Amino acid sequence: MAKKQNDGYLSAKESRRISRENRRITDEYEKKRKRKNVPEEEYLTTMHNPGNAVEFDNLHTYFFTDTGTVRSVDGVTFDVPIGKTVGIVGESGCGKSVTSLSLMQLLQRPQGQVVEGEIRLNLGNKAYDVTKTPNDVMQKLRGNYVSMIFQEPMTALNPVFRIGDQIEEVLKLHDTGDHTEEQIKQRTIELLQLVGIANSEGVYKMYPHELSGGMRQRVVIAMALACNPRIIIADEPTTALDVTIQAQILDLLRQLKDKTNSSIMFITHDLGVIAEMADYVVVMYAGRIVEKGTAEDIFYHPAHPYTIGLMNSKPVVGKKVEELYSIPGKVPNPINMPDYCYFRDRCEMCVGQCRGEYPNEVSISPTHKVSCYRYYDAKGGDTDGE
Amino acid sequence: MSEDKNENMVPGQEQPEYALDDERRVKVLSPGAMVAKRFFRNRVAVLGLVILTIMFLFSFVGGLVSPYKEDQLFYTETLQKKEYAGAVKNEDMRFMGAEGQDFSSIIQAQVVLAVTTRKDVVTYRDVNYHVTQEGQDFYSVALDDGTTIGIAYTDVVSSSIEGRKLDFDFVFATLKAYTNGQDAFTLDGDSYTISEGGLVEKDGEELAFVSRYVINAISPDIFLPREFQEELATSLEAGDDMFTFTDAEGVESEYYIDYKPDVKNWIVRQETYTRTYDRYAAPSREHPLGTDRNGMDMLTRLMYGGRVSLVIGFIVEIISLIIGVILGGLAGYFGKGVDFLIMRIVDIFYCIPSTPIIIILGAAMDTMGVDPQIRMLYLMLILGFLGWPSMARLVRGQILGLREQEFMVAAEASGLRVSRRIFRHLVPNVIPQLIVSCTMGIGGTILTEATLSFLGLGVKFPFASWGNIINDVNNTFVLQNYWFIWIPAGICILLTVLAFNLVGDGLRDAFDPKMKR
Amino acid sequence: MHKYIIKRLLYSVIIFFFVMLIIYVILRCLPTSYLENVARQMSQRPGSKTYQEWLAQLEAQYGMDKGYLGGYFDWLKHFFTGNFGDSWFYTVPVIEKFRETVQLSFVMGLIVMFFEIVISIPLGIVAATKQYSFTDYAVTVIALAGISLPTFFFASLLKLVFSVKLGWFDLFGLVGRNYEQLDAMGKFLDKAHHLVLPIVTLVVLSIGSLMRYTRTNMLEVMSADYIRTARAKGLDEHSVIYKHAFRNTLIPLVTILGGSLPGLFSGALITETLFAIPGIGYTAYHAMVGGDIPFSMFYLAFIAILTLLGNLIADLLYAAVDPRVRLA
Repeated sequence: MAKKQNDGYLSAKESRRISRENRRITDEYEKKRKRKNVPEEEYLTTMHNPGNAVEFDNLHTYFFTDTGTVRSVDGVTFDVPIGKTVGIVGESGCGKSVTSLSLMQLLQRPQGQVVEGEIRLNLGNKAYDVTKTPNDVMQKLRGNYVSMIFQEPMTALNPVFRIGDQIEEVLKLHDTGDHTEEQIKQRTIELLQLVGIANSEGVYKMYPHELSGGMRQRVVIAMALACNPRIIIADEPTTALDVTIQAQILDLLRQLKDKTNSSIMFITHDLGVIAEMADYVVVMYAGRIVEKGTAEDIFYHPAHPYTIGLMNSKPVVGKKVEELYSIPGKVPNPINMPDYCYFRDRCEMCVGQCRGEYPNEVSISPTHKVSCYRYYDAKGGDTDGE
Repeated sequence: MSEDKNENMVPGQEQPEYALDDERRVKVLSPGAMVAKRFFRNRVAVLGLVILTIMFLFSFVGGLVSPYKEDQLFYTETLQKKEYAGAVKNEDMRFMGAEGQDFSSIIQAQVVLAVTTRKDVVTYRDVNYHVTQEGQDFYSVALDDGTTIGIAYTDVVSSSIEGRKLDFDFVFATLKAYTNGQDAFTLDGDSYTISEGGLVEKDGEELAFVSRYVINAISPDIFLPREFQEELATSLEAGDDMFTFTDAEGVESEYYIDYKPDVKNWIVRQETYTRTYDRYAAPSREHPLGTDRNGMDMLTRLMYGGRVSLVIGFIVEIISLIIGVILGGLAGYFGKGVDFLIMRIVDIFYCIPSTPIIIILGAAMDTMGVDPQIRMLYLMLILGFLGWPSMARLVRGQILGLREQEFMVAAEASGLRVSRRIFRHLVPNVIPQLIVSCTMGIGGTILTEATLSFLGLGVKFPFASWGNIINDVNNTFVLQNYWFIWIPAGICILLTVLAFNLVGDGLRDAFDPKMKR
Repeated sequence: MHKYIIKRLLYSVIIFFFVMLIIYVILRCLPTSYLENVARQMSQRPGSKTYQEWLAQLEAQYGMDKGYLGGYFDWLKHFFTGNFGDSWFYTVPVIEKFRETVQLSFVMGLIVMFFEIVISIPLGIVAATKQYSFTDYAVTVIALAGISLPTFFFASLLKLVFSVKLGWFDLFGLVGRNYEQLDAMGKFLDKAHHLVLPIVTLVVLSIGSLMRYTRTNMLEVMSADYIRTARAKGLDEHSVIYKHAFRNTLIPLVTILGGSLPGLFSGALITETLFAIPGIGYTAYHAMVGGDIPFSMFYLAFIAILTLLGNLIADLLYAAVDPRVRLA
């Protein structure tokens, strides 16, 4: 255990020890990553269910920092079926963004490493395990099979290139046929129209700083859609926008989902958005999934105390309350997490068993799973996990 | 709810179990420790720090430890050829008067006239002088009554015995015998022998010698023994330019002969050890880096020079800092009119070309003959005064940026008074960049001062500064042969400035919260 | 746009006014015995005027008989009407001497800038992209060593190694001994040969700061969001660095370089003096040390104008290169 200092600070010796550990571990991983000419068999795999676009299987992504090992994603398992929207809910710091970054392999090296687990990506005729895929292969997948919409539209576009150029770039990069310049330009303008930009010809020539936040986000969505990806990751795409624009963007995404057949991984902390958009919902807390199921399951039958707390936190229009509810306490720092239910200290519905280890996942219904001791009796303490 | 779980001691664990969301659960580094850790992780910056420490110790402690003083002169014995004697081959007639006789130069002139016109008698003022040739180039002059009043000769008779002068009769007799080729003569009952070389002896004792060469010592208290003169005469005849001679004490010296055709003189030089300034001595145990042009120990001067350079660097930087912080702070904090005015002044100063101005002022101080110590002071003031604009701009920029950040607005909203807001909230955020800027600034100042001193316009003799030590290198000869003079000083400058820059750079990386590691 | 330029020019003129006023006052504050010394020296030259005449002329010329302001306005008047006076040191009109020497400095400056850019920028980029690696450390140390070297020391070292020991280059001067006998091409090559060492000195000393600047900017750019977007698009690292990141780094780089263009004319004072290359720096140095006030004033005014011009160009370039910036 760390030596206690007067003001709760880490001692220099401790910190050095941690650094040395980290260096050793990350060097190992980096060495594996840096190999060239990795044969395909190493990352070729098969989907457990061919109806899934992505399968996350016991993913562990850790960050080896100076203050200890941050277990951002600590055993996350869920599927994203083809053509469906999966919403990932949780507060800041619960690991949702890191999950998506793990899928894109855009983690901050060398501190961030996928330590364990698989992410199976369905490419149609074959499937890759993204965690073992080397970078050069990964580059072909990014933007092409998997694309991402980031949180901050104001800074997501390169300020010195025109909009048209930036969209065309991704098209040209993953261009399979030999399309001419003219064709590519046409496609770009189509995309701009698709995302609801009226003056597509005009915007094509503009620079990012000439557009508003909402417009920029549409452009980013257009870039994400350009190569018809199988899965689009939307990482809090509307958080930085005001509510009216948010509504428009969500509308847009819904329409697009219907038109194309991509799956969407929608990451947010806003339950309302999830309610509108998601088919399936995954609730994360401190790096682990505490509950997952269909949208109806979660919204009409929330099981985990955290989920229940989240639902209660959202003020309902028209309902009069004395005091607005909020979950007591705050999200823990994910360093050196102990082995008991993470929500225990904030939970208002603890039972005796909560003093023990971390609860396993229990099925309440074929689609609805939760990690909470309260549901052990219901199913007789059955453990059900994948 | 989470607080009362604090004191729970779960069996098997040493520390009280904190609730998961309690911040005390996870320990982090303090901000200061974080900066220090990032700094020390940067190996290059640590290298810089080490070099800096060494230079400081060298300059400040070294000066105390060194056995020599800054301007202590050293002497050495060098083998130098000093003028020892002169020799002339006597072509002219010389005269010697008999004791008590009037043999003035006018009479001598008459004699010369007589000889050249081959007369026997000359008359001057009614006195007849009879000129008789006694031998080869040897004449005696007598009056009517036969009294010899003087002789005219070309061969010179010198005494072999120090301090003993030869009298007229002796000289007469010697010359008479010598010029007639005789090998002996008698005088006053004593018999003397003359060798062919002109050595006059009586009873085996050497008394005098005759020679065509007039040889005189440069210094009147040096007596040239006969052997020496003979040896010299032989060399002159032979046309040698060097001969060795061992004197009575057995000391052998070398003598070098130079002929000066314009005066038909030979200059004889003796190689002796003389005490001179020990200039440009090669590195040795006493002087690990040798000595410089003035004979001062290089290593010591390097140490003192380091002190001067470093101190000047610091003081100039402090001056710039003070002025810059005050003006920049005022401009940044109060904005609007004050800011506008101060920034215009900064613009003007920025536009002044500093290097030429410093050179001109340095040259002017030369002309005015300013005392070296005062000069250093002026130098520091000038450099400091030319350096404040960049500091002011930096401070102003930082303050403008920070002033609008939420924490300042929050501080204001919580009712803190102005001075507290400035000094406890604003200033600590400006300090990191200031430190970085100062550190790099000292490096730059040291370079400027070194360049100035090198040009001869900065720190002056007798004070040493690394720059003015290298000043010597303007002389190409020194450049080539005495590398130990200027290369160590240059390396010192390079290392010190480099170290400052490395440390400054490392600090900048360490303070930056956005760095990846 | 034009309004902006005109406004800046006016502003520059005002700054220039004050800068030269300060310089003029400094020069005037030099002890009058200074002028007397110069007058004495001048009068001793063969065929020159007497001391009294010189003194009177100098005093009139510099308005020493008037007050500071009066004298300054006199000088200003002369300056703006193109009357730059005669150089005392070189006994020719200032402008003539200037024209002779400035071309050489400019050419040297241009060559140095070319090499500087070609070496520093790629190294800076490499250092930024491989941060904390050995390359980064090495480049950092080299860059900082470059700016830590005293000019005269490095020049002397070069001289020692290349001129003395290896004998490849002459120690001083622009032209060799048998310059006159060479043909045009030979003359050109001879001059080029003599310029090698000074240019090497200048290049080594200047790559440091540009390299550091490039590195710092690249680091900042690389941590921006749009780089992450570029990676998410599937671009390979090379494109990410050289297309997306570099184009953004170019903005401050171009402004810095553009701003230093006028500085090419000012000559590298120390280096030219050390190698006795008769450029404007060398000429000006001797003039200043020798107390040649007309030439010094002119040179200082020249540099001030160059600095102001450099600032203006940097700002204009910044607007031209960065699409986000529109001039106020």
